[in-house]
Amino acid sequence: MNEAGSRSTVPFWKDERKLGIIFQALLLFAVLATLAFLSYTAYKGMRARGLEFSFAFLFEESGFLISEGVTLANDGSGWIFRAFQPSDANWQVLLAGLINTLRVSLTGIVLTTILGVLIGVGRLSSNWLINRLSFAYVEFVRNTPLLVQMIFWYLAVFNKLPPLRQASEWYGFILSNKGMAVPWIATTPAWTQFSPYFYWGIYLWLGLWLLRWVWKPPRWLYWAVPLGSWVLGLIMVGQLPVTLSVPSKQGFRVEGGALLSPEFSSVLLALTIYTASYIAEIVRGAIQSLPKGQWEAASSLGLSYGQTLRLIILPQALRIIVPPLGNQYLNLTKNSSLAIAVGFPELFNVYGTLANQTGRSLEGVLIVMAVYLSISLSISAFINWYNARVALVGAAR
Amino acid sequence: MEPIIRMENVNKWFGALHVLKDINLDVQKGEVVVIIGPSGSGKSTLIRTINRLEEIQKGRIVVDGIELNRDVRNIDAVRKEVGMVFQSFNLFPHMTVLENITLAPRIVRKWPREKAEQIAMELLERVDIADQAEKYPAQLSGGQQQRVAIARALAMQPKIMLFDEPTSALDPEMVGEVLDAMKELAKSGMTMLVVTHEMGFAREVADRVIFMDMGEIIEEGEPDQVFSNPQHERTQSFLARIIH
Amino acid sequence: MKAITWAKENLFNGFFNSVLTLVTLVVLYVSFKGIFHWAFYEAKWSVVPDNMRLLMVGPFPPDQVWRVWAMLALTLLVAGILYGNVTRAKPPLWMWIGALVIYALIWPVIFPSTRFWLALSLLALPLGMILGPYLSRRLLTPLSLTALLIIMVLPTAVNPNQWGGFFLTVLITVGVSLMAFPFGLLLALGRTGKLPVFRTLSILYIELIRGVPLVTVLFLSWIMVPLFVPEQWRLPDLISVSIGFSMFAAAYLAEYVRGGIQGVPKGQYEAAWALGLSGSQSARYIILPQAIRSVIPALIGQEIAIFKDTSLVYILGLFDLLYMALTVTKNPKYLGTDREVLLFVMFVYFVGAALMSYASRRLERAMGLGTR
Repeated sequence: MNEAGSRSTVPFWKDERKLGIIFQALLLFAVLATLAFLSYTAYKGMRARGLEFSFAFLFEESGFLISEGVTLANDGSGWIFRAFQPSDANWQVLLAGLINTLRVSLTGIVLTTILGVLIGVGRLSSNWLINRLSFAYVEFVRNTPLLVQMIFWYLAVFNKLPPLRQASEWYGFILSNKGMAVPWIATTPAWTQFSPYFYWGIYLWLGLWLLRWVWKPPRWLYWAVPLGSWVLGLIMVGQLPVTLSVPSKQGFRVEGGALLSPEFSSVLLALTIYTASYIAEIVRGAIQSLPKGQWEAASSLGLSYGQTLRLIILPQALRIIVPPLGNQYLNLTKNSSLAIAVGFPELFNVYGTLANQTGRSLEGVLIVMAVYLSISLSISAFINWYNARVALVGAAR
Repeated sequence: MEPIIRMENVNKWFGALHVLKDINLDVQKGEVVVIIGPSGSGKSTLIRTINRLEEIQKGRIVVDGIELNRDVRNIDAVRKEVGMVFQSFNLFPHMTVLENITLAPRIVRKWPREKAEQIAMELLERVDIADQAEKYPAQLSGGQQQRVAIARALAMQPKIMLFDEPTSALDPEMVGEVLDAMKELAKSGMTMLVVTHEMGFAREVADRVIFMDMGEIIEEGEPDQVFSNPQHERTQSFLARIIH
Repeated sequence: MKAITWAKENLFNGFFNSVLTLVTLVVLYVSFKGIFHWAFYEAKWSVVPDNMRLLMVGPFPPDQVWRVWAMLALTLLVAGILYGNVTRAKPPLWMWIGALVIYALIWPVIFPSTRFWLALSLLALPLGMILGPYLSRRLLTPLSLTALLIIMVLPTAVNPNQWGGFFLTVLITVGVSLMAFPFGLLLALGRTGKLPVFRTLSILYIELIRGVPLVTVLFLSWIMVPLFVPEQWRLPDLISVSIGFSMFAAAYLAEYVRGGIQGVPKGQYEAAWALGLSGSQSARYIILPQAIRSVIPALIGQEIAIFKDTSLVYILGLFDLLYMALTVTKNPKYLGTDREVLLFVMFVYFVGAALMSYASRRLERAMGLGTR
């Protein structure tokens, strides 16, 4: 072994640090080379089969119909949202699909949270019946595939509903083979006069929120401002700008309310019920994970059950719940893509038809994946932001 | 005699924190060196640089004639010759005691299974727990686990043994059995560097005691000398605080 | 009376609970009255046993179905042998009784040729367990590998495009899990390693996959994989879809294993390095065994998820259980039986998933002893 007074040169292939760099450079090269090779082979493969790769199809006329959907279109005086027409371009049909995806996902998220929390609490109930029913619900729903459940709701339930004539009405809800009609908010003629006050309330709130770096307003201002604007509007207009529209049967059609197609309803129902079973377990886990000591400390301080729940337990439970909950919302949004199996024209379904019509399956699926990825990243970013905001000060995470 | 460990002007930073300042230390073969000092003084970091669990930014460390630098071969060679016992034992929970001890000799020194097991049983005898050979670490007490850890390190037949606060995580009644094993090791002529708070052990077995504070070696000398007649004021105040 | 006290404590303790119980009972009665009536009086359950072959193996040629039986029997036999050899346990009584009961129940509705295979499969597991202890340890690996080879080769006599039904579902579940495992392991190691390039690439891949729905990955793979292969080969859809499925599963697997790896205390790494183990040796003997052990419950959860997700291949036109079930309803003789077949499909999935959960819980308990 050399006994040297000065540093001996270390051959670079045995140098600890250099070795790491060499490995990584090799890997990077290997990955890039593989990607290049794959892209080239794919390109050659497409050429051999007479296909080409281009995104120009997005601006061609679509020429097909989708059962429901709203898209962005220029009607000469500006861009508005209106029902989709076959003469619209392909990018507009994709947009309509995206809007449908968002429609069913957002509604699903709200409903599934409510249902999930109820069932989660039910799992902990001292009432044996509720407890066991919640357990059975979670076990059955979680161990069956979502796709099968969705198809079941569609084929086995909604498709078998009676025609409108014989459909039953129940407190404003009408279930028929045309879908589910629910009471909804409708605007009255007074809306046109009221709408400026409505929008200004929102703009002012937004302005306050954006300007909070510059000037920190007292908390009550945040809801006082929009509320004030709306109240002012009501006073100025003198009538209610919105009303509850209840659906009613008129011959072969449903008048009033909102009609949710069988496709939309079965997708919504399946997503809600399936995701709720996961949310129930998250809620149950969160509540059970809180140390008993919290309850004991609160009661020894004299707080009531309700106060303890509101001030001590739920805030802490919320912190635990939010990340996995956000993850479930993400799953729900991604799972909406299964709606292709029941014919609901959400983004993926629309892509399917589009690919059939134009043959642009590869370009299309890449676009669709990019869109889903953006949605997912946005939701993840929001979860991270919320997590950081409510994290316990000083807690090591 | 060439020292078996030579550290010259060793410096280490954790980011902006200077944790080892110009350490110069020579350890002779067969010497038992005990390092004491307040927490954060860098004593654990110091011994961890010897088997390169920690890197140094400046200075030079030579172990048994092997220069400790970025050369992978050197690092591997040094680690074969230096054994380490940790404060938290770090036994491998998914292996039996015997497997824990024979693993490294078999796959690093490439010994055949029979030889490794024979050596392992001898070592277990030496630390007095031969009957626990087929048990899993979770089934042993803390003192037993630490003795297994000592046997595991010894199985590689190292020339130097490092001890990083080996008894600090033990219940008081088990400290004695581990110290006994360490004393026996010292008497057999092993070169040992021990970071510990056990002054009785140091008095009995150490050839040299080093007091560190704030990354520097403040004082060193024979145990009687350092404990009864500390020269530096910091040594004095530290000893006063812990001997109560 | 014990029942009344129990009811008082669990159903009617307090005003709120009492009201809740009553309301729930009423709702249950109203909902289930219709369901029970349908299930017992109106439903055409015959659609299930009549089409059992289609549901189980899809368009597999009937005269070749014995191959599937052989695969099943062989798998159970080897499983029994391995289990019996390791645990030296005798087959429990319930296994014999269960086999007898199942045979008796199914016997009337199947062909004589199938009866032989059914009997063989039912007996394979307990027979294997009896045989197990008599075989020497050294024989086990070559035996398993030969069996595996036979199992893999048996069905290939039939064109993969004709594989279907529950058989296909199970095949995809097992195949995808096996293919995803090595890749997922690599990703997890890259994710937790020190080298930034490995880490970034792993993170990019994982986040990309987790941000998109499975069905889009399956489509992408189904479109692209055939492009890499000369057109003359006529790659079966099964393969192009399975590759995409495995790549998807690998990303999720990587996250579970990563959790396990990060759960291994740093002291284990240090002890391994201090003993002179190299990076790969530490990973192989110390880190990974501990990491994988701690994530086995999550891994089985992943298995169940893959099992359920195989239903998505229906969308790509593969003849899995769901596809066959819906095809059966298109037969004019069985028109309108969607509820019956879909309930059967849900039942099959439920039983499969429940069995896996049960196995997971047993495994967790067995592992908790001694090997922590």
